[in-house]
Parts: sequence; structure tokens; C-alpha cells
Amino acid sequence: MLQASGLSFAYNGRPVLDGIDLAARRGQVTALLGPNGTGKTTLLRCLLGLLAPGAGRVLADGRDVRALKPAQRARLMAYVPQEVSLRFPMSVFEAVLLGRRPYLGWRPSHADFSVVERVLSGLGLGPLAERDLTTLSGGQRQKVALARALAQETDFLLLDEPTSSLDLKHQIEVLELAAAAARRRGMGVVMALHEVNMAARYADQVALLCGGAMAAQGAPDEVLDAGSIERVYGVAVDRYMDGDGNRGCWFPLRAAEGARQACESIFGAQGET
Amino acid sequence: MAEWTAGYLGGQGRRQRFLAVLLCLAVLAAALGLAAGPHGIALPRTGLEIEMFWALRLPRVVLALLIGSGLAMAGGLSQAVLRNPLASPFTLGIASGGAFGAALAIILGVLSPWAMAASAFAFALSTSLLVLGLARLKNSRPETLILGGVAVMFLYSAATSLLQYVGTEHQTQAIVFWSFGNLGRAGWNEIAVAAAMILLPAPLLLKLAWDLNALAGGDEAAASLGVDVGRVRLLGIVLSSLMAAGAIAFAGVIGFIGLVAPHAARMCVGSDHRYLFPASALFGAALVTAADAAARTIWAPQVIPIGIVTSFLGVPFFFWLLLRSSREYW
Repeated sequence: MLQASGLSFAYNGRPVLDGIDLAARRGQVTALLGPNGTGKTTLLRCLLGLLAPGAGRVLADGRDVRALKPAQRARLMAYVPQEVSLRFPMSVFEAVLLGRRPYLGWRPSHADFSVVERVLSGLGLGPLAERDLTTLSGGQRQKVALARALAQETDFLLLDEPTSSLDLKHQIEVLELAAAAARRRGMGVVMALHEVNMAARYADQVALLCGGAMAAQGAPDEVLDAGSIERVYGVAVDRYMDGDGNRGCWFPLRAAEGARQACESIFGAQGET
Repeated sequence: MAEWTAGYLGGQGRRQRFLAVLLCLAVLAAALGLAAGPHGIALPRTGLEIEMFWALRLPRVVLALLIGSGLAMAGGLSQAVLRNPLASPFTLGIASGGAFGAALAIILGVLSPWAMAASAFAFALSTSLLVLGLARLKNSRPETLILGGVAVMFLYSAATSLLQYVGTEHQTQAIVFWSFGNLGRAGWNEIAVAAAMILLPAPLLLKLAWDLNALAGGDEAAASLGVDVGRVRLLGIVLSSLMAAGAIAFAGVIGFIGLVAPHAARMCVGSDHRYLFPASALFGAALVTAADAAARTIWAPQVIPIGIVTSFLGVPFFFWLLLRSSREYW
């Protein structure tokens, strides 16, 4: 279990996270939801042990992540950052092989190669193995980043808005893979998401952040309702259900008062519609 | 072994063969350098010529090989840790620091080559200490380091200009001449010192290779792969500065090699630093040695300063590589 307790963090004195409690279990997908700038990425970085929290701590299976050596952390948790900027050419195979970095000596072993092979074929990236990363589309690059993280063979997988630049098909693919990593391989998956509906569909647990604090936490059905979404995002929503009443989706109706005022002050008042 | 691994390993084999070719190229350049003299390509015959060969030409070629490989490795290292293809060992102000150190020695009337080299070395290294201090106070993002380095570079350039302004005509000429680069200043003792500063860090570079490969995907991705990004970056700057300062202390500023040799190597063997460092070193060694041979023969018995020739020979070569490369910019 990856557990944050009383986690607070500030960038140069500007508080970002305030007293966050979160428990991400193995075999489950935990979605971090919340508006832009609410501290989702910072929370992920704290969970990974890349940032030192001002207060509180993060325990991975009972051990403080900041006390682990970088290589130990890398064998425990993998991370797919929001954006990967590449300055120098690198093939897809090499990029995925980097996921074996925590295990490597000078020369990769047969075991390393077979992990890379399995991940490449699993994600359908085999035909691209020799392609240069810089020539791939955004969706393909995102899959390569995911492949690298899976090749790391960790217990926990943390993803920062893995679907933000993807088309519908790639979004579904990436989320299915993340969910399968949790359910089939028993990994603990934590991902920051913007899509409320995707979170409702794929997550076992939703953590709703607002202004650096935890607004609500629990199963999607418990946490997500019209009231909590409007409170956190400032957008009124309505829920539409399918015929059987099994699946619903949230549909934004209008922005809350602040956004409407902004529109009126910029573009002028609008007649009743 | 499935096909994609076979493809990767095949690529590795290709890289190893490329390294062998580059080694031959460096050996060829060294042979050319040994044979090139004021009378064109000719082996020494008379007693005096043989004596000159051992006393002057051999140390000169050895120094050229050392300086070329040192600047090239330092360049590849700074490009990797600063994550910037425009970086060279001189990005952090090392060249201007070294030039100031040499200028200071000239103005103060210290004419011993050792004292000049020591002063150049100390001031070259001081620039990276300033930049590291900045990183410690603020952060070690590449942008911070590059901006700090550029600022330090301007500071030392201004200081050197001041020295030129207050110096005599003769001193100013000496300062300018130092900055052109000269492989003829060093004897075996100086070469031994330069070799220690350039060759001793080389195994450490290879040890950092996987960390630097991981760094190519960004600081965060590298950190999540278990790389201590801050430590690797600072270590990289220290090693790169040490190698570059060792090179320029005895040979003056030879600027182009540190930028171009790593790029040329990258076009041939790719970005895996396990191959990139040896390939850069061989490229740099071959380039400086060949340029020096040309510098001594083109306008014999005049010797054109090496810093000028490397650029005149290197730039067309680099343009050719740039144009035939299928990638966007290298």
C-alpha cells in the first residue's frame, strides 16, 4: 500500500498541498481529480519521493519513501510524467529498455530483453521498435512512456494525466492498460485525470482535490455527485444514464457565477436564451 | 531472442564497427600528424630532423590527440547534463575564464608557461564553481546553469577586455595570441598533467552513461528511474569543466571541437552514451590532429593557429553531416 498521511508541501513558501491523507492499494486504480493547479502533480511527486514534504510523510509498504535509495524507489514505483521532452534521438526500443535502468549493470541481460519484448508486443509497439521517438505521434509517445514504466516491473504505477493529449481511442487504450495493470498484475495504480467520466469508469477509488486539500475520497459513486463536482470545479453538471441505469455520464451545463461574469465583462451581456 | 532485441543488438554491433572505423581514422590522423612537417609529408631523415621529431612533433601530436578527445568528451557530457544540443564545454564560461587567467598572468609579467597554464586552469575552473554555487543557492535546472554560465562568461570577457585595455601593445598581442590556441607550448611534463586531467575522469563518464541516457527523457522521468538527477548534473559539470580546463590550460582556446565532435559522433552511433563518449573522443582526437597537420603544412613554414584551422575545417564538415542527416537537426 502506498500511503500518504498529513502530507503538506509548499513551493517557495506558497502552500500547494495541505494535510493530504491518501491510501492507494495494490490491485486498485486510484484517480486524482481536481481543477488545474490544485496540486495533483505535486502530490504524485511527493508520493514518488521526488519531493520532500514540508509535513507528513509517504509510506510504501510501511517504509518512508524518502528514506529509500533512488534505485530502491525505482524498483518500487514507476512514473509516467505528463510530458516527455526529448532533445536527442532515441529509438522506441532504447526508450523502453531504459525502464530496466534500476536493474541494469553495464550490459542488459536476457531477462531485461525479454521484459522489453513482452511489453513491446503487449502494447503493439513492436513494429515501431526501431523508430526514432521524435518521429512518433503524441499518442504513440505516450504509449512508449507507459511501456517504459511497465518494463520497470514495479508494484506501483503513477501516471500524470496520461490521456491529456490523446484522441478518444488512445485515451481508452491507455486507461484500459492502466486498469489491467491493477487488476491483472495487482499493481497499485495512481493517476491524475481531468476527465471525470473516465475516472468514474476506470477508477476503484477517486480522490477529489480542491485548493490543495482533499475534498472527498472514496468509491466513484460515493464521491462524485452533482454537488461535489460543482463545488470543486465550479461547473454545474447533470447526470445522464443509459437505458438500463448502469452507466451514467456527467455533462457540464454551465460555468458557475464567476465564469459567467467573466464572459459578460469581456463580451458584453447576453440576452436571455 | 525475438526480432526486436535482435534488431537492437544488431544496431549495437554496427556501433562497435563504427568505433573501430573511428579508431582507424584517429590513428591515420596521428600518422599524418607525425609525418607532416614544414617540407610537406615526409619522414625525418637527418639527425637534426630526427631530434626535432622526438622533441617537437611527437609531443605535439600526442597533445593534439589528448586535447581533441578531452574537449569532445567534455562537450558530450555537458550536452547530456544540460540537456541542450547547443552546450559545449565552454557554455559555462570556461573558455573566457581560462583566457582571463592567461591574460592576468601575461599582464602581471609571469612568463613561465607553467604559471600561465596554472592561472588559466584556476580561472577556467572558477567559472564552474561560480555556476555550481548558483545552483546550490537556487536550483540545478539546466536553464539556471546555462544562464549563470553565460553571465559568468560575460563577466570574464569584460575583465579580459579591461586587461587588454590597460596592457601594453606587446601584452595585448600575447593575450590575443593565447586565445587562438597553440599546440606547440607543451612539453612532456605538461602533457602528463593534461593527460591526467583528461583521461582520469573518462572511466567515470562511462559509469554515468546509463544515468545520462535516462536523463535524455527529462529530469522527472530520470528521477523516477532511480537517477539522482542533481548529483549526476553537478558531477557532470565538475568533470566536464575539469577536462576542458585541462585542455585549454596548455593549448589555449580551441572552441569548435567540444560542440561539433559529440554531434558528429551522435549522427554515427546514436545517443547511447556508452558509445557516444568513445566515439566523440575518437572524432575529436582525429579532428584536432588532422587540423594541426593541416595548420603546419598549408602555409609552411608559418603555423596557422589551431583554433582557427579547426573551425575552417570543421564547419564545412559539420554542414555536410547536417545536410545528409535525415533527422530534423542532427
